[in-house]
Amino acid sequence: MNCSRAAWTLPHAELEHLAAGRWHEQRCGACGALAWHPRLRCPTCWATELVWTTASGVPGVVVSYATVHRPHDRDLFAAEVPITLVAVARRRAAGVIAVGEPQARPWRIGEPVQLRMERRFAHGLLVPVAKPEIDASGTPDIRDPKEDDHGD
Amino acid sequence: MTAAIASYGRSAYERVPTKPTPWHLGEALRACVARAGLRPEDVDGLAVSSLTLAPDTVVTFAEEVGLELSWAWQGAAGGASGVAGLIAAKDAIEAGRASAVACVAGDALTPSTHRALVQRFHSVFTHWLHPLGFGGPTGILALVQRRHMEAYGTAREQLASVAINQRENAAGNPDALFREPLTLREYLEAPPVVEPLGLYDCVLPCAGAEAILVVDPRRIELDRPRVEVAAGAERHNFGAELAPLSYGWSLFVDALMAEAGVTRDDVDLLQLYDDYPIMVAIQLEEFGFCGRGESGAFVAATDTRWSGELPVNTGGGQLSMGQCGAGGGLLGAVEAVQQLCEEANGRQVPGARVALVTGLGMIGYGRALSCTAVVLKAMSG
Repeated sequence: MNCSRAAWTLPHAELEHLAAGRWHEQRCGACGALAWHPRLRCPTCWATELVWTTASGVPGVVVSYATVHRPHDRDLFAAEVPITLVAVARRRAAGVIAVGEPQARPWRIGEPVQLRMERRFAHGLLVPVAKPEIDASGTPDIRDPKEDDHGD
Repeated sequence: MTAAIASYGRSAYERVPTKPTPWHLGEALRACVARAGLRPEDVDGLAVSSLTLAPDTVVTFAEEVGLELSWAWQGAAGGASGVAGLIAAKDAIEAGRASAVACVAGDALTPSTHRALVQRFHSVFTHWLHPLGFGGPTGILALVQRRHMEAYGTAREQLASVAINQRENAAGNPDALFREPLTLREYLEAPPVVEPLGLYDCVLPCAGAEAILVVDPRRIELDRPRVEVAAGAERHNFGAELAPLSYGWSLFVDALMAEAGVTRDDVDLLQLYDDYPIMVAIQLEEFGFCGRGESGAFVAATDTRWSGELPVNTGGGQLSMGQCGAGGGLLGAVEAVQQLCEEANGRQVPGARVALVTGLGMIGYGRALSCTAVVLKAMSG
């Protein structure tokens, strides 16, 4: 699917008929770059052949996290806080700011996560959601986020 | 020929605005030109930075205040615009495009109109961050601070020094909205806004405007020595990292100092863009006043009050003045000029000759997009 049309004026229109529970992003058809957020033109090579790709989820590593108590939009989010923001770095792809899947334990910088699109909050739009990847022992595998930092 | 700063001005800040943005811009402009002993018709260049002037522009504002111009510029870099406008004004003067450029910056905001502004600040905020309930710029800077805390062991107790010392500086500044001392306990116990940032890490959106007049000293006669814009630099869309701990300043700091003909040791005072204490701390690293990652310990151990060993934000900064939108990006320059003219009564840094002034703006997808800086020097003779 070509997204050169609507990202500027109706940015969610392209996303909204994509499935929740999966990850969706644009890949440049010319140079292959994965440049989150969605846009009209590849910021690496300026080609406009941006193709939506999908996966069950994509991996990343937590660069930082923060907890919103006082939202910038009280009408939409006053009933939703606290909201955890998670900045996620990816190997050979642009970083993503996601909503953290609520969990009992604290978030940790360097821990691996899976990114998916989910419908969150009263507005019902698809937003990136980060969920920790826990190994069989229940212990997150902490890595240096720089190792996954945007690759080449 | 080097452009000279002839004057500065400010409108009276309002915690609850009773006057609109153009009124504040016009008042700062009037005060600035009057202080220089000039008349409105002497101004032939105008640089305006404002987040709430639209649909008006620098040109329609010139019509509003009756200025006919040979040069006009409008800021596009949020909190970095004030300093960017000074750089542009210096270039315009030195290229002979104008003989007297007024740089004005300001907005009339309240916390609620500021929140509304954040939602449509730019398209990436509107479309890709607003739906996450991201907390506005405070959400992005909270990511930066958390990363700094975990990477380097920086503590909120250390960063509190920035807010506390600036509040002490504000005690000597009658223009500041907040002049009462701030205690460590008040800082630490304030309600969280976006953790790890609390209420006293955040600036209060308010109404006001700042102004500086840059002139060609060959064409505008000055009654006394003023201030020189010795060097300036800017960088936009530096890097791609989320929640970065290094910014575009690091690219040009050495060249900036060399162009100004000064070293760090020559700098008598710093006016560092203080949207949040963590950015003051990071700038001390960027400009080499402490090592990378050492700014938490540095701000806790260094007297950064106007009377101290390294004066920072000597008028109290935006954390104490309030943030009048884009005016917050010119506030530091106005304070620096006041200091270098030895007119900062109640908070005058003795013998101040050289000031470093910075701007930071356009918080975007996980990072601030614009960094600016100028070195200002008192002119001798």
